[in-house]
Amino acid sequence: MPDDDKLLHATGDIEAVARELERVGTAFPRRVNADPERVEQGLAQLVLTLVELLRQLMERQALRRMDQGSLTEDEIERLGETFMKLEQRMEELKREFGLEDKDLNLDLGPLGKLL
Amino acid sequence: MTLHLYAVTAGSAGPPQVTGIAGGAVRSVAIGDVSAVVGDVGEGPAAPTEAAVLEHARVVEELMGTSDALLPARFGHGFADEGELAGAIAARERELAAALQQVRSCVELGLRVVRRDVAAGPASDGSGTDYMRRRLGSVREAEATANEVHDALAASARASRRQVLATPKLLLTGAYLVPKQDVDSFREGVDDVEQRHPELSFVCTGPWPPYSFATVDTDASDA
Amino acid sequence: MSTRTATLAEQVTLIELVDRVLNKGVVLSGDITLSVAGVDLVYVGLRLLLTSVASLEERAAGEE
Repeated sequence: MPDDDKLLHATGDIEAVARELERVGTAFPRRVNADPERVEQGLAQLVLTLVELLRQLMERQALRRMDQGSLTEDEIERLGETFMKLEQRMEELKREFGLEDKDLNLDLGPLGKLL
Repeated sequence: MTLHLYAVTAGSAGPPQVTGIAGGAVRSVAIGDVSAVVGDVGEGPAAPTEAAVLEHARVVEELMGTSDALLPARFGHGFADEGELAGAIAARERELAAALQQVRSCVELGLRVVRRDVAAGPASDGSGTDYMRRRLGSVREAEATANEVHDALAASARASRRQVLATPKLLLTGAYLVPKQDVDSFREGVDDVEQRHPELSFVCTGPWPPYSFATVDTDASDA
Repeated sequence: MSTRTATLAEQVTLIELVDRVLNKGVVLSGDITLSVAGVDLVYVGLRLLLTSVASLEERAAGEE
């Protein structure tokens, strides 16, 4: 265990920070659940992580283009509808497989800059 | 025998007084203008187990005590022999020299800024355009806040790195290269910025060896 | 500090430390980053997704 004298300043809500860092998964990442009896959930975790990753990437790209003014009104409307539906569907799927946000952590390592 | 690299230091360092991963010996190899601090780790690359990672960190930390200009190495595959190591260092000679000069007498301070309340808008309400407008507004506001916080702190650092919005709540991840003697005033600076933003939580860690300034990160770096 | 806060502090500093040792720091070898951790330490995220399903099943079979 490292000394926690590395904690220079934390007068705020350290719990909130710990929770977000867990989401980003920069500590030793949890293995995907490879228990044969729960392989289905493990696979769902894989697939949903990818879907969530793509959704976030695409949404960021779209927002950037919207910000630059290079999307038509029609495109904005259609993209918004699609992202809303995707978000809803993700929530349903997460519930179905008993997965939480932190199970779909998006630590991309060197590709982290994409987000 | 694989050579595991712990760090690169400027000039020729004295023999490091520390044992390395799995109790292995740690030694300093002079290569041109720098020294590579390595350890023998047996067959094949050292596995990045929690213990090994902590030991690696400990060695680097110890080296900070005796080297004024040090570039921590990432936990990597290691080298077959000193020849391979020397070749790799020669190939990055210029970047290493520049990085060593930049980190001289400095430590790294890390920052995480989390937003307490992220407005989770009603997902299904309104039109697609409403959704996009809300999201854009939210992202713009978050980026503006992250930039404000980062710029205020980067101003008192020799160099900095940042990542904005790694998650919707993790507003900013920053690394700041600060001269050793300025750590306390930097921390006060963090305190000041935090006072201005009661809606955010700040965690500042360090002082670390300058891991984030050992590589040239063209996207996320400021001068 | 309460025990709870001390544990959180340890957790946070461990995350920061591991992040630095594994993701930051100078890289001198060629095919770095993605393969630093080999198969064992795989980010649950993009890299795990790049792992074939076959090796997932393999691990399931070999897991203690």
